[in-house]
Amino acid sequence: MRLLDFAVRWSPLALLALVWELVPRLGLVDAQSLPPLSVVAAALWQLLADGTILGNGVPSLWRLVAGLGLAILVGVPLGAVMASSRTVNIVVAPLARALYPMPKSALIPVLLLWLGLGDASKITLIFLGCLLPVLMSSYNGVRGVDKVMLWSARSFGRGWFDVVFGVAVRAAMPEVLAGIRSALALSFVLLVSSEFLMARNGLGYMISFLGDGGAYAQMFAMVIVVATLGFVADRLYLMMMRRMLAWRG
Amino acid sequence: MSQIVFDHVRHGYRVPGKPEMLALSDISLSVAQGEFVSLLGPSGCGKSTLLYLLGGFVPLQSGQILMEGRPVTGPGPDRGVVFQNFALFPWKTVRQNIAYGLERRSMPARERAEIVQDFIDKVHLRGFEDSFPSQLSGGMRQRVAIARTLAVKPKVLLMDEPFGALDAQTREIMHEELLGLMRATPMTTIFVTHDVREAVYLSNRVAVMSSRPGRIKEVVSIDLPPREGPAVMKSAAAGDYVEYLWSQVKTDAAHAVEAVR
Repeated sequence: MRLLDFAVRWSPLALLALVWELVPRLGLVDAQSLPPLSVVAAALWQLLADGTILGNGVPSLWRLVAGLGLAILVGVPLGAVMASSRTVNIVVAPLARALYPMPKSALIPVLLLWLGLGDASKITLIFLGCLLPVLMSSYNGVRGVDKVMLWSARSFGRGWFDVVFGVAVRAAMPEVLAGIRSALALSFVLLVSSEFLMARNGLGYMISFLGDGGAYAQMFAMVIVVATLGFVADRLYLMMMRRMLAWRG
Repeated sequence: MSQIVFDHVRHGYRVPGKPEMLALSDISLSVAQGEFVSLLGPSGCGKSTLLYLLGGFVPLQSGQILMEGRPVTGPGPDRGVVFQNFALFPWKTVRQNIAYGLERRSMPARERAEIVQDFIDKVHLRGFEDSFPSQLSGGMRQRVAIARTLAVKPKVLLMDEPFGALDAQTREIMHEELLGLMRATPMTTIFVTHDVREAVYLSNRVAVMSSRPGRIKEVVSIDLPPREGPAVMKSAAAGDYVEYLWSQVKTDAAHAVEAVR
């Protein structure tokens, strides 16, 4: 039964792989622009063996972790304080609301100009892009916390800081973690698109470099690497999130 | 001397563009040490607001509230509060919830653990120490909340319809548990309820409130033998109290229904 379940779950992916293999082989599309999956797999193996994937994957993951990490470190506390302090809300909320819908990729040329091709430009872009979703989820989560729970903490003698960070943020954790999850997906988008345009290494850089050089099988192999990384990161995050929210029963 | 004094307390809500809605009008009430006083009234009479004012959660607009002679300025551990929806910390276990109020007190960890265990036993939650609130029934959750509040040894206990969210059977069990705790450690209690029988069974005095604007209509002393089980409620005297208080509340509840229409 579990085997059948497994087969059903993965059958669309297997079908996609089969189509990918057959369509160029049968000449339905140009094998140059879509190399058969087996050719891409061979290229993937070669890129893995010669260290290209590791050598570009590590700097990419570092940028992602740094950018997203900073967004969490700033966004969660700032959102919580915004929800708890009228003064901070008045100052920050209009800014957050104005910047929230702005496509952060529009900043790529600006950041290239200011910060150049090093890690700083990518980390800054990912930080800026992830900051608002994280901040908004923290803000909305904390605002939704039952005020009686906060009163209860205050009646045990706890001060403002303890009530906001010890109680409100903890109670808002389901919303906060959901916000970080969408920021995680967004961070991959921003990472790869910024590396297309402003980098000398990294997974996104390699995709565009290999594509420009006409090495399409290798280019597709790198796309598969990025897709797999994104998928694995989301799964791992989900597992961690479930563990952290075990108290919900 | 009275432990708690409400002195001409008045409280209104302002909505821009509308006349002020008066929630409490000129409330005066004194509660002596060790007394169990119920605030009884229909919903909308401001009884919970009065409790929140004493708790220090809602700022006082006019009048005065004194706790042991000092004006109330904010929440504090001298006034332990138990809320209708428990207000437990759902990410903390039973043990961690009960320990919450003691966390910041300087005392040896062992002593703290002993106090927590003692209260777990007092509210009959042995075996559930490491459960989360989501894994408990309503009655058990409220026992955790009561234990959490009593563990810090407040001077007075404020209860806001603490058993209102529980089914009738659980509520009766909780009445006995509360009275048992009170016998072991007598404590001044202000108890908000709309349940007439509950008020008669638990209280030394019942302050009947009416709505629009909220005010105390009458304070009735309940003179019944010591509560040692629900049998006392079958006595003629208890029946008279229930009937009288019900007639007092009913007229007002009917008005409230009319007003909503």
